[in-house]
Amino acid sequence: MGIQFKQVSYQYQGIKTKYLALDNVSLNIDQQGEFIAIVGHTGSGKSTLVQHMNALLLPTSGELIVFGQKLPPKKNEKINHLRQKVGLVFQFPEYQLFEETIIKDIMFGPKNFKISDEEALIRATNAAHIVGIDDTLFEQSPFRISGGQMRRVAVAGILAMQPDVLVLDEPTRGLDPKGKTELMNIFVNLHEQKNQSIILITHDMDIVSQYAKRVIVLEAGKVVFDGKKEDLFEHENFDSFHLELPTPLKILKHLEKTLNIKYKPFYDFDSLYQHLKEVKL
Amino acid sequence: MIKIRDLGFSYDGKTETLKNINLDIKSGSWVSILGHNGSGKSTLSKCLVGLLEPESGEIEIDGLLLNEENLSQIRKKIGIVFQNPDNQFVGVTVRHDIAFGLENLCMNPKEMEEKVYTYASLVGMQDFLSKEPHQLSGGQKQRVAIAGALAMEQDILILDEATSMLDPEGTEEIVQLIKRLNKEFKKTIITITHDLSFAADSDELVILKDGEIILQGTPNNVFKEEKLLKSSNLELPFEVKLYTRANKDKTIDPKITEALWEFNSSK
Amino acid sequence: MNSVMIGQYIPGDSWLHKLDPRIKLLSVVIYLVAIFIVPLKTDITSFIVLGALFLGTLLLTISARISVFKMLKGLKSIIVLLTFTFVIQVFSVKEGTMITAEPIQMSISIASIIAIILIIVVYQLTKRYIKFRVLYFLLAVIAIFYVQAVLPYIEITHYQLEIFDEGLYKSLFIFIRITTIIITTSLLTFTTMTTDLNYGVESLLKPLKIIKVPVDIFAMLLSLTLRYIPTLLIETEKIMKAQASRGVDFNESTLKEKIVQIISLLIPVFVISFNRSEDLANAMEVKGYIIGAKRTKIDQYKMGFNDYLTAVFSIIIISAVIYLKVIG
Repeated sequence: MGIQFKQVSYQYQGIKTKYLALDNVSLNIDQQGEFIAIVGHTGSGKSTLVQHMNALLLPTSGELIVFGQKLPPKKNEKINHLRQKVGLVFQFPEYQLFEETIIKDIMFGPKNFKISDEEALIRATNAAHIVGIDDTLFEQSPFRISGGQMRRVAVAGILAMQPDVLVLDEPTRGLDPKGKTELMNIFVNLHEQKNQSIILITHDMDIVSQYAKRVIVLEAGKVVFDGKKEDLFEHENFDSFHLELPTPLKILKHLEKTLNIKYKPFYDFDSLYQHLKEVKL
Repeated sequence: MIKIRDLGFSYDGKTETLKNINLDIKSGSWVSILGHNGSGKSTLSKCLVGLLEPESGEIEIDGLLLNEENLSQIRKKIGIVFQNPDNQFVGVTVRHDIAFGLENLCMNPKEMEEKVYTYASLVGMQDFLSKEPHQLSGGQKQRVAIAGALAMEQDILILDEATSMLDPEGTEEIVQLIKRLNKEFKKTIITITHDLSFAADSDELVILKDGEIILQGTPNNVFKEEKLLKSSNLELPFEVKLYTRANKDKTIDPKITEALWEFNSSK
Repeated sequence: MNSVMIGQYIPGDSWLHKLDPRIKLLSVVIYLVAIFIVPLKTDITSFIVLGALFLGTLLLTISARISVFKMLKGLKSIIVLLTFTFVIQVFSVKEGTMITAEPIQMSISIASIIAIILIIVVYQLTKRYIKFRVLYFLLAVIAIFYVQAVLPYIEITHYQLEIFDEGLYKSLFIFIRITTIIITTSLLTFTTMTTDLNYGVESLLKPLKIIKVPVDIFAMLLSLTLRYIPTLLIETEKIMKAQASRGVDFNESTLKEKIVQIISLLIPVFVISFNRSEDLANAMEVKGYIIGAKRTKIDQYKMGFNDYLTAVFSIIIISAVIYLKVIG
């Protein structure tokens, strides 16, 4: 199961322009256990790539298999169920809220997949608790809560569908620092406790450094790197990817340059701090 | 240049969104106002441009007291760029949007054309004058908004979370532009943000929490107060947090701490 | 970011593109009036005048450096309407001489009904493979009438088809009239940018200021609407994708579900627009905009030689047509 891209290309056809948004992409995503960061400059094809994963867009060439379903599908094959298997959270997802109450909005997703009202309520309640939305808010209008809360309600709306793979397009954009950390912790917990596969589009190399296991780098629609994050940052051609090093690694390289401390990679704050305590000059 | 005395504001008459705000902003300085969502940052900026009328206290801009009579005068001195690039773009094209404020001032068309071109060039959008907003990126739209404010030759510019909705490339464009406006063109800049990395380059930081100023000072001084910052949901940038903690920690070799300071200064 | 095109503006720098929008708009209105004034009579003068107006639009198309072929292609969408009009005229006009010696016997019979159904089915199934769709459509229509004339087996009812030459003339006349109208209005939208059209409409409405109609406010509203349509379309597409990712699927849902799905699209767009209006009002106010206050515009339109010439010609054309109608 999972998702397999086999030489997938996507030709974008505009009114005056046309270009290859995805160019011969091949990669595999497991339905469990993955924590992938997708990085690349604006226009590199990140959004196009993830919209293929839940069949919002279909390849113009090549073969894409999502949870056993070949895409593009044959004439009468239904693909809507794939959106339950691969849950996609867009940027600024709070714009998709519309129901009268918060709990009804979270239930919208599951109900679209023919889940009974009772079961949908159970799933919505669980999802709300995961993102930290208390029962007391359930009957409130989704438009009367803060922006940060609205975002969490929107994420809960996707979690309530209980997707196998969770895809997030820059989920922390626009949030204040505390909000960013809290939201990322929700995804980390899902990953650690339920072995949920998580795919994250991000521009923030520090987030990649702290959370991701695997990194896919896109450039002009092509996959230029697909592997462990450790291998990405150690890559001999790292400069050709036009990415910044995450801050902890920049600091470690600086320390090597100025104090001759042998470079040893550490990817998050706590492990780096511990390392600095133990270093003897 | 700006004097705020005992400013207070409430949206509903019960909760005080702003209380006892006292602040001086010197001409030509770059001040960043930070705080958690709901701390009153945007309310303060709206009071400064006369969109909201304070309940108590007063604001003086360049010697003029902010009140209804002086409003049109004040609007010539202070401009603002808001967060959402699409919700402040009035004109059908870039050219028309930059000209909008000038049209309101009844400027003659020839003068307007010149000013539009001058300030579009200043922000690097001179080749986009006939483009429509849906053809532009977020960063480009914000640059147009800044050009529009500059064209009105306001000496004070407020940027209210102007980069929150932008991607890193767009954010970097605006950050560079702001630095130029402050250093080269001596504009007084007030940035409202919750990004301490961005604010680290400003002359002074003002931290709001629940409508009150809880901390104020140069970035170096403010960064020492990690707990106070955290109480307003703000996080020190990675490298600053590392330095601050290392500095207090005796078990870390001081040469390392010094190297960390060097790293931060060079950024 | 760029899949939206508002209006049908085709960039170019022909004299027609550069014409003052006020003159262009006025001239188009005058031309349209002239087209309508030409009397629907079957004498040779009417035909010559209408033909001249039609040829005039073709000449204008060429001089605007727009391909005539492209212009005529635009008529494809109204071919059904035109055929319908044609048929009505043919059936209802009973003057002049019949083109056939005797009325044609048409029967609605089991045989002809079956044949008509077969024709429709075959047409629908095969039309995607045919290159010249318009011709194919017309052939199908002719076939439908033909079978009524030649298949009287198991008759239900019958009627007589009398095709008069006047009917044919009038149909042709109306066909050319509609075509000319469409080409004229297309010329306007093809060669005028929305900002200029906006200015043209605003200017022509100015006289209404005298009776205290708030023309300036309408002009600002029109300008803002034009500015936001592409943006709203893009945002609507994003909402559609977001809701599709939550399982919204128009094809595989009941009517009741469809209603909720439409609401899931409308409400977010409404909320976005509502919040936008507040932000926009603030932004405009800070830039010194006061409703109803005097303001200048950066766009200047000066009338040139071409504009005066066009105005003169328009007046000549309408005068000629009125003259012909009065004496004819």
